[in-house]
Amino acid sequence: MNRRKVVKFLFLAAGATAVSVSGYKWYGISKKPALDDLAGYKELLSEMAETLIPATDTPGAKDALVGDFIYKMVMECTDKKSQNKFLTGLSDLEAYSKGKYGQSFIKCTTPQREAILSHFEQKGKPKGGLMGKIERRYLGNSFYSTLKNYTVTGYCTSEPGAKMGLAYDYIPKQFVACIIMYPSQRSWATK
Amino acid sequence: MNNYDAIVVGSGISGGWAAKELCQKGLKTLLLDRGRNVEHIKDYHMANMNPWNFEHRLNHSEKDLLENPLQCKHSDESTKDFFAKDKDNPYIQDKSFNWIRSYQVGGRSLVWGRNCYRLSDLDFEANKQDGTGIDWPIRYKDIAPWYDYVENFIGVSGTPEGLPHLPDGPFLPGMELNFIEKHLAQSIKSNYEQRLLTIQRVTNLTRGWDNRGPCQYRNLCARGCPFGGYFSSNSSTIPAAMATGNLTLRPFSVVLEVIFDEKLNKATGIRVMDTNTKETFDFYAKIIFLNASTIATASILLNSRSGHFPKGLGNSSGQVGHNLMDHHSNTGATAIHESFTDQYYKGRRPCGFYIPRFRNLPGQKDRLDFVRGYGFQGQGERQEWQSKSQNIEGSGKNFKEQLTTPGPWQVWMGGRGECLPYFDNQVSLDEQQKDAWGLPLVKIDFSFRDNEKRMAADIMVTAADMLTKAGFKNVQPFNYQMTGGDTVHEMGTARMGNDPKTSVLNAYNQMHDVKNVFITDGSCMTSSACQNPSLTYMALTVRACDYAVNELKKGNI
Repeated sequence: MNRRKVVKFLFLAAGATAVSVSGYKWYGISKKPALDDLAGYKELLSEMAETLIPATDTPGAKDALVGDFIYKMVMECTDKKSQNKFLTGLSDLEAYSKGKYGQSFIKCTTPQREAILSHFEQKGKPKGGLMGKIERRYLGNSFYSTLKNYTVTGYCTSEPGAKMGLAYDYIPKQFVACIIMYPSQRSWATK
Repeated sequence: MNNYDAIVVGSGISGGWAAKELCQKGLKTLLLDRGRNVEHIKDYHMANMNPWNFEHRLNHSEKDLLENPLQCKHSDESTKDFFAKDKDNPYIQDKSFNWIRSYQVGGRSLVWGRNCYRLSDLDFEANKQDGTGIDWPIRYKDIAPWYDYVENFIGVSGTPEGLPHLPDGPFLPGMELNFIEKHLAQSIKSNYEQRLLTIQRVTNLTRGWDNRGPCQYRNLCARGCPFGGYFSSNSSTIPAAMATGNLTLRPFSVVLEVIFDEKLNKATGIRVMDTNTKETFDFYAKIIFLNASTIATASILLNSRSGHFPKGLGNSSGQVGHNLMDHHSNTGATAIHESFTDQYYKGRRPCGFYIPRFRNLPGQKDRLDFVRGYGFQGQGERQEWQSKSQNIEGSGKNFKEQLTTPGPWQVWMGGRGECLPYFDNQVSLDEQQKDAWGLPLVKIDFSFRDNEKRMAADIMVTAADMLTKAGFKNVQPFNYQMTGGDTVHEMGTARMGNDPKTSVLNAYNQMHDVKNVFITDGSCMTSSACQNPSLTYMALTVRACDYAVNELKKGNI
C-alpha cells in the first residue's frame, strides 16, 4: 500500500469507527445546528474571550468586541460539525461551571474561569499527526479549538488589538531587514 | 468598425505585453478579455483596507469554501474577486488538477508571485540532452536581448550572482535578507559547493521606475497596488498601450473561435460572445496573438475546427492540448532556530529567498535517480500570533503576553521542481457538456510521474539537511498532496519546435500551419525548466511581436 492508500484506508476506517461507536454522537455533530441558540450566548462568548485575553496595560478581548466576532464566525465561517460541537460545548461549559462552582461562568472569579477553560482545553486538545487530522475531518474542530482560534484572530485583527496589543505598521514605506528588539517589543500584527 | 491590424486574446501577463508592443509599433490593436475591466488604482477596492475593515477578518465564509474551494485556496477575503469562481466556471478533471483562473482585465498578472528568473542553455538544451520530448528551437542567445528589454521595462529587483544557469539581468537593488536568512545563507555557502541562497528576483520596485513605485513594503500586492509597486498588465503594459492611441480594449468578450479562411489559408479574425448580452461579434485583423493562458488557449484552438483543421486550428501535428506541465511544489521543510532572539525586522518584504538549482548541473558527478532539477523558495520570520498561538496553552495575562510577543525564528522552504513534458498529460474538450456560453467544457487529464516524485523526495532530504547544518531545531520535512495546477505554472499545450510534424509553433511562436497566428503564453513552452516562467513568456512575446510586425511589413503574412 502506498502512503495515499494507507491514508485513505485510515480515513475510511476512522469514519466507520465514528459511526459504529456512537451513532448518537454522530447524529449530534451532523444534524442541522441550532444556530438560533447562539445569540443567547453572546455575553458568555464575550466573557470567555476576555478570560483568554484580558485587559492589562493594553486593551483586552472585550475592548476589541471579540464576542461579536466569535458569534459572526461561528454563524458564517464554520462547518456544520464544528458548529454543533461549539453549541454543545457552550452548554457543557455552563453545566460544568454550575456543577463545580454553583454558578454560571459569567459569575465566576477569574481563577475559577481560568480553571474552567483549562478543563475544556485539556478535553479538546487537538490530536497531533494523522489521527488528529482524521478526527478533525470526521468530527469537526473541538469546542475549545474553535473558541481559542476565533478569540485570537478576533483580537489580533481588531483595531485595538492590532494597534495596542500588538504593533501595527499600516504603510511601512521601508524594509529594515535587521533591527535589535527593544524591551517590551510587541509582535507585528500583520505579515 | 470591426477591423483591426492585430487582435490579442487575453490581457494577462503576456497578452498585455503583446498589446503594448503591437500598439507601439503602430498597429491598431484590439485587446480582448473575457472578464470585467480592472483599471489601475481606481479598481483596487481592497487595497487600503485594514484587517478590521473586513467582515470576516480576511477569512472565507463557509458558503464560499463550499461553492468555490479552488478560488478560496489561492485567495483570502481581500483578493477573492481577482480569482474566477469555481461555481460559475466548471471544468472536468479526469485526474485531480487545480485550474486556478483570474477572469478580469490583467488576468493573473494582478495576483502573481512576481518572481522573475531567466532560463539558460541548461534548460533550452535539456530535452535534447536527455532525449525527452522535442528540442527547443531556440537557445539562450536568441532570447537574452529580449530578457534585457523586458526587465528594463518592468523593473526587477534582485542580486546578481554570476551563475551560468541562472543568468543575471539589469537588476534594481535587491531587497535585503533578514537576520535568520543571512545566517542560513552563510551556512549554505560554507557547507556546500555550488549552492547559494539569494533574495528572490521580483518585480517589486526598490526604487521608483517608469513612474511607478517604489514598493511601500505593505505586502498586500495581490489586492492591486495603489503605489504601482509591482508589475502587472494593469499598472504597466496596458496603460503604455493605451497611451499610443492605438489600443481598443474590449472586456466581457469570451472567445468562441478563431475564424479561419481556407482559401487564404489564414486566420481572418476572432468570434466572441459578449458575456453580458450573449450577442456574438466577429472582429477581423491581419495578425492574431493568442494569450488566453495555457489551458484556455489550447481549448480555443481545439474548438476552432474547420474542414481544413478538423482536429482544431493549426493542429496538423496532433500536439495541441498535449504535453501539459506544471511545476511541483508540494515538498520542502520547515524548522525553528532558538538563537538570535534579540533580532527582528521592520516592514513587510513582499518576497522571500531563493536557492537556485544545484542538482544535475554540468560537471557534477552525483548519481541521482532523476533528471533536471529544482530551486527552493522560502522565508524566514519570527513566529507571530498566527503560528505561535497553537503552541501556547492556558489563558489570562500570561497567555496574552506570549501571544503578543515574537516567538522563535522559523524558516520555511519549498522546492519548485521541473516537470517533464508527457504527451498524455493533456487538455481536451468534452463533446457533451457545455458552459454558460455554449462552449464545450475543458477536460484536464494530468499526473506527475516518477521523475517528479523522485525529485520531490530529494527536495525533502536536501531541505532538511541544509536546515540541520545551519543549527535549526525541530526540522520537519513536509510532503503535501502533489496535485497538478497548484503551482499555477501551467504550460506546454502548443509547444515550440523546429519540426511542424511534432510541434505547433516555430522558433518565433508563429503557428507552423497558420502563419498569421502567434501564441506566446505558457502554451508555447517546450520544457518547463524549474524557474518561475512568466519572465520567459514576456521575453518570447516581445520577440514574437518584433518578428510578426517585420513579416507583416515584408508582406510575408
